[in-house]
Amino acid sequence: MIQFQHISKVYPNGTVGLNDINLTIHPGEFVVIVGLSGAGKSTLLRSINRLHEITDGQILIDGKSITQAKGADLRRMRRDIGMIFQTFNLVKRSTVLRNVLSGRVGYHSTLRTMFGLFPKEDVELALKALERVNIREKAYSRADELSGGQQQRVSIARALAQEAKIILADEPVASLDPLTTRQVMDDLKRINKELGITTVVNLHFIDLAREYATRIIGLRAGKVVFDGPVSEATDEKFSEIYGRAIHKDELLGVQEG
Amino acid sequence: MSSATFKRPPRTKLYVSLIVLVLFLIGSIYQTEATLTKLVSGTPEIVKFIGEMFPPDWAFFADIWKPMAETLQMSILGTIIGALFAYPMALLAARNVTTTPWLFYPARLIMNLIRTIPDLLYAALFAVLVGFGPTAGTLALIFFTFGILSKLAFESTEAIDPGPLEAMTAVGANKLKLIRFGVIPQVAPTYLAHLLYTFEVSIRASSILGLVGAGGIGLLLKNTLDLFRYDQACAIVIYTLLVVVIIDLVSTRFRNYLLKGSAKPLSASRSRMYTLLGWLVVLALLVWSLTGLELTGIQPTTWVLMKSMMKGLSHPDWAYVYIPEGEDLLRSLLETLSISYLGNFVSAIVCIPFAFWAASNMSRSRYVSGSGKIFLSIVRTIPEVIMALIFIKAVGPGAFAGVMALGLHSVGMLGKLYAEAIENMDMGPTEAMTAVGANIWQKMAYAVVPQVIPDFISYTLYRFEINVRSATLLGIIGAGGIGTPLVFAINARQWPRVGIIIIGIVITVSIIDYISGTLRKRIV
Repeated sequence: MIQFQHISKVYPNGTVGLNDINLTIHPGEFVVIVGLSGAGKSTLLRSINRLHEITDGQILIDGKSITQAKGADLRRMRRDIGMIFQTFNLVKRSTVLRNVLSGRVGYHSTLRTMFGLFPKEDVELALKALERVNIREKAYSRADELSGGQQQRVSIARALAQEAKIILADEPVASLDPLTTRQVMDDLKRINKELGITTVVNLHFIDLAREYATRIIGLRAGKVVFDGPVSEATDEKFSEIYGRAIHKDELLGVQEG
Repeated sequence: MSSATFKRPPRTKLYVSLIVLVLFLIGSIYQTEATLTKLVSGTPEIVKFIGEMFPPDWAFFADIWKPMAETLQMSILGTIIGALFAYPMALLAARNVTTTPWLFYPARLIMNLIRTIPDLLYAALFAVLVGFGPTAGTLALIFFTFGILSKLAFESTEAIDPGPLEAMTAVGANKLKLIRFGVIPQVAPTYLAHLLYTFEVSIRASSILGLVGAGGIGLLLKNTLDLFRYDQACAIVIYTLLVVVIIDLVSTRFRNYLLKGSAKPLSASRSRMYTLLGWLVVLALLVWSLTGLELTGIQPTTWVLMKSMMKGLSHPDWAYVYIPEGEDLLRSLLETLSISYLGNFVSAIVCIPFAFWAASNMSRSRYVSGSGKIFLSIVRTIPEVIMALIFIKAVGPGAFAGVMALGLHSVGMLGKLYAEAIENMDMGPTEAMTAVGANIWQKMAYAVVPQVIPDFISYTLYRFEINVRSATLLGIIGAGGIGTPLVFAINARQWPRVGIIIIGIVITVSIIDYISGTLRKRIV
């Protein structure tokens, strides 16, 4: 469970990034955050694992404040939160397996990880994670030999190897073509259903949000302006979130099948 | 899909490379007799030496300015004359301008040969031929700048747009007209930028030529060191560095302007005025150098010496290659390689923390990385030959002083290159590792190191090529390696031996360049 309690973010130059946000995300939910660029989607998502700091309020993960956590405690909490990035953020020259195994470093001592001495079970776990996203056979390829969609699946596998209870995905499909977009979103959805991992995704494609989410949160100028199930997220609601009519490029437009 | 299908690929190559690296390391430690005890026992000497350098004798400036001016005059004259030969040679060597292979291949060969011979060696040879003094230095710098400039100009000439050349051929221009209207307009700014760069390099070279008696500030430095006036030596080093840094700054600004152009285009009359001004400055510098230098010209003995030198050089002393009792060419070359390998190895490791200090993306404050950058640039501005002189005073002559000098100088050079590699790194993986819950060491091992390692290795290899060249010279001032027998042979005028040693150096440098170049291409 993720609880946002009166979250605000004010940048040093006075710009308000987030404005008194109160939310509770329950275990197993598939939440999609929508909004214009600059609305604070990324800031909100990244405040959950504190890649971005907030200036007010606090965030509780399963009842424990990550906002106040420090050092080893903070790292321990981050270990349980997987993250998927728009630009994949893999080490391109390392093998796929090593990239996935890097998700395990939080479980072992510094010395052990320095020498890359992961136990057999970890390697098994990493390979299983790759199997779940259908790229088991790429385990010993270099990451830069893979296509964009495959690379994003490696980063999903990294989050799985972390044995994360929550997965955060910040515009996971923004650098992918429509077809691979669906494959990656399908992977995320399947993992959410099969393993019950709470998933929070930032998207700017409205139709994708409707198709995959169980709950949609709309942000506008740092404030929550919509929060509800997909059935309530009508075109009119989206126009409200965006403050204008929906543009064509906010629809992915390719249907399944 | 059974798990056996995707077996982990073997890592034999990595292990073999590591073993070879370590074997070379052990070998070069054995060769140079470099030990930690030597370093530890030498440390008080180094500290004492540095202590005696401070405070520098500022009043010594009265004696410094004249040889300093001579240093500048030598490099001005050397660069200009070198350039007069270098540009035509570059055009002759460029495949797209000189289309006949039997012309451009020999031109390239001459260019490369002249470039392989280091500056100090030219100086030592000319000092014998025309006598001690600035004449020898100027001649050495002519060859030295020719080597650098012809290579740079050649490369930029081959990279020009072929369109205008085709057009000039189509209008029926002959070779000279084609060069005047098709090539020169395209390469002029780059040629000029290269000229300035070569001038910067030649000042650095010019400041050490005096060590072998070829004029300039180097001679004064050697004298003060021999008289144990380290405070005066320190003043010389500081003044020289100041001059070098100021000229570098001015020249770098000009070069950036030439290569990138100014923000607003100049009017035609303004541009003509600047060109005229530029020519006047060059002319003034030339007059100043020609009147200031006491050029002795050709000695009566020069021709005789030249004849015996040429005869000796063309009849190398093959017997010197291997002498069972020792002190032969092969062993001296091996010592040279050991000095460069060990110096390189040490600096490749020592410079890592400095590189992280200087990299702007590794610290929040600009002051942290800025101070690191300044520190590294101070270290690399001091030429390795000067460092070797200092270490010889501290730990005694021999290979160990050479290792220390090369190692320290390379820290400045490699540290800068490593820092750039770190700055060019993709920060995404580091962010991902933060999200995973990694601590700082784990981020280093999983996000930073794998990204920067190929660049680090490539730069280290490149540095090794340069260090081998430098190491051949260190012996001239007594810091071990092939330079020692070379300078003995030159002073004793044993030209056949000088010949075989030069052949040995050229072959060694070429082989190392080839191996290192091949390895660097494979690391991407």
